[in-house]
Amino acid sequence: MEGPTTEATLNRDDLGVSSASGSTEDPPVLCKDTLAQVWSDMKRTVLPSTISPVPREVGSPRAGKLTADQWRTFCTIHLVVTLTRLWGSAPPEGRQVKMLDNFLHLVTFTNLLHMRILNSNDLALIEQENLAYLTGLRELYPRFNLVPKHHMSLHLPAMLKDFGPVHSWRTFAFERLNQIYQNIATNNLSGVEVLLFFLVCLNLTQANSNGQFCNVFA
Amino acid sequence: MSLENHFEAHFFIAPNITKFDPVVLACYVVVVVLHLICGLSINDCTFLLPSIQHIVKMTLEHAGSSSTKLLTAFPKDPRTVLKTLELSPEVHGYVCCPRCFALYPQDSEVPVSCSYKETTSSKVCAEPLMRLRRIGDKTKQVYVREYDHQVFKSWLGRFLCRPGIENVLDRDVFWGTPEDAKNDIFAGDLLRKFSSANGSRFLPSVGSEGRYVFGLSVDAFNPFLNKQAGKKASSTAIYMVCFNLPPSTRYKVENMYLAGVIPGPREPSLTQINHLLRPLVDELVQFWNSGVWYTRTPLYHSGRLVKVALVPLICDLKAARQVMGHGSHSATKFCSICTQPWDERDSLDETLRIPMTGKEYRLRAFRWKRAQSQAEREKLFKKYGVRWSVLLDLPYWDPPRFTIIDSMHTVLLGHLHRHCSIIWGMNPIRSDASNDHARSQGSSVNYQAQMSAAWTIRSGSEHAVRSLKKSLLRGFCALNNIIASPLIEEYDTTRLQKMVLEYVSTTFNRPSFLTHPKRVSQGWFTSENQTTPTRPPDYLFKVASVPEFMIGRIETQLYASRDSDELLETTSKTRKVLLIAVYVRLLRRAGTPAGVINELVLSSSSKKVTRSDIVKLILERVSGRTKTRSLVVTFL
Repeated sequence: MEGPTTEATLNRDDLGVSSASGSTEDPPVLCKDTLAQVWSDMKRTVLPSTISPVPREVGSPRAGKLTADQWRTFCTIHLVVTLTRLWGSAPPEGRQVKMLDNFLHLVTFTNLLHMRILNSNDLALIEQENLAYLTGLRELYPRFNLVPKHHMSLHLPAMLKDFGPVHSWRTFAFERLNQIYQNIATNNLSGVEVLLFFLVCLNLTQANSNGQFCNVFA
Repeated sequence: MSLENHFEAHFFIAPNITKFDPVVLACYVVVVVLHLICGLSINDCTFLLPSIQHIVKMTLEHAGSSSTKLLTAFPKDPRTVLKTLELSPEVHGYVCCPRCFALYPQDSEVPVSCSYKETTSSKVCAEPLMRLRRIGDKTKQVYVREYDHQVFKSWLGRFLCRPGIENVLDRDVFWGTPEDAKNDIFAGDLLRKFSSANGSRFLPSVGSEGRYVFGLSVDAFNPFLNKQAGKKASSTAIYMVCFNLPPSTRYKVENMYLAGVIPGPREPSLTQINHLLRPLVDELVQFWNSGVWYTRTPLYHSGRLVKVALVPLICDLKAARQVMGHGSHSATKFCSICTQPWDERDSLDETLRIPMTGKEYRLRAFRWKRAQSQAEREKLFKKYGVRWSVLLDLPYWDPPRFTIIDSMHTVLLGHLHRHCSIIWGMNPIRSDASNDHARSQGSSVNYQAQMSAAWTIRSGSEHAVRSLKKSLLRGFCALNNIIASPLIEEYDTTRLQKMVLEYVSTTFNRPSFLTHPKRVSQGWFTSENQTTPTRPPDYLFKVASVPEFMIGRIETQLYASRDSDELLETTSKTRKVLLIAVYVRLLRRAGTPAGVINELVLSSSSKKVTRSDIVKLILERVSGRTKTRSLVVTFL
């Protein structure tokens, strides 16, 4: 038979479906073995009740998407604990130590950014840590471009100077409100009817917090 | 003071609620809470109300009272209860154009179709605002889409009249902030230096005048919850939060003002959101310029003036850009604060970050607004990256400075998420330091489609490659390590096509790919063949795409079973394709020429050949009794 042979069709390598050639310069880091270590450390870590916990098998599809707060817990607590243990004693010139250093700049930046009280020293530190992180990012992972969000974060110190600590101007509270509205039963309606419904509910909550109803039940 | 600014606030001081008998009020509250919060339907409530009435009646009789005063206060319909409790807020109803979101107040005459013009030279929108609705056998005209705006004046009045609120709002907001320790928004430089219309400091308030600072947030959410299988829709909520409250109570639900919910399912695009912010901004302009006079509040019985300033705009990156009128974060002018160009977005150089002043911004936005035609506006936008925003009607509004960068979306969901998921490629299935990202996702890859695509990429025309689906291009790139696997999500179709075509021309030596030695040896072409090869029938791909492990599994069964009946039984649920794949493997192992195998596979694809035929063939092959040639004859 002329034309393509079964051999050619049956051989996946020839079709380029599984050829293993190509660059392997940035081996992935948070994989099976490392994540297993992180998970086992997480089991033994006791968190204060004020910190929102992270799903047990974080990273797997079963754990689902992480919320913003869970990302913070995961990166600034769990990863720091495990990665320092795993990489901290590696040779100081090696890539692992460099990656750890770079990541810790990010962690410090995040922690400082979310402080409730800031002084001018903190502001300078925030700027410094962010720059150190981004510079390291470009050196260690040259294939990954900086994205606009990275640039926007360079303006954060100015925002802190103008508006004070982030707790007064972040979207957490509004997202929470969204969730409340989403969970109000609305008979699958959206639009004006629902708005009115929200507002009536709100006024009821208001009246309740006024204590207007309290004396009734007292 | 013009009467226009006056707001009758007596109503809030002595609400209807105080007029009821406590027993009746308690019953009302039970019904209302069950209906609004627990979700009891109106029908069920109509059962509940007479029941409660009856219980009260029996209790009265039990106590020996013959008074009927209490019993007459019970209405039959829960909606009457809602009305008498005066829980409904004051809202202004608007008709909203379903196409361009232009608003028409419902209390004046509403046109039949939308008469909005984007620019003086643009066409009228002309979308019908009414539609016919059939209820039973009656038809009536209804508005296609409505939007309700909660009146800010009335909300603030109600808010001020809540016991204790006014005391808290009028606290000295600067009190207790140490010199070099920022603990709240009032410790920031902006509000400390913020000046009012006449040039004096806006805060702290002087005398009886109330001066409040609010923050605006516009945020889209899915009203049908974010469920995988749920409806996809998006409504946008407009909130305001009062910063004069201390941080502990600022974000309580009952203390936040909800201006309105923009009806979905589609979000307003670009400047369309301006229409919906217009009612709010009009009120805010009045609150800034002359202030609003509340005729009576708990602390000021003869009335007081209230002034309000809107300072930060608190949204995620996308909504913030839309509300402030700036281009998106992938536009050439990607930063809303400075003028760093897109080509230099990678740079950390401080000298590139020249901040844009509010004046410049305002000037550019005005030029955009004044433009006579859509084309001119587009040109101005390309040049400056700025559109008009209705918030610029507020004389103090300084978009680059007042629009905050949200730390939650930028750092927590930005930096941290990117670092773990993309740069470090978080994945619990893949083993460490190997680059088989794509194979780890193998279970979700459709191998047949993938192989067929690989064929097209190798032998098809450029046009054929361009018409491939994005997912297939992605799979090809991942499997061949053309793009680092964690990055693949960021490539769009055009870029993927470019990468694939580049790869084909270098790796497969595309310009002369027809005479490529490897391809000839694979039997795809004859050495002198210059025409495009005929594409193998789909059935070959189907057989070829059977995963190895499945073939192995059946082979194990094959050797475990004694005779054909047993094998037929164990493989009764196996698909025919699988059996053929097993057979092909056996043939290949025996060194049967490829052409013969191909012919065989194709002939066995016909419906005449049943599963048991193939099982028989396999068994014969295993025991080595039959020659391949004769098999083909038996098939045909």
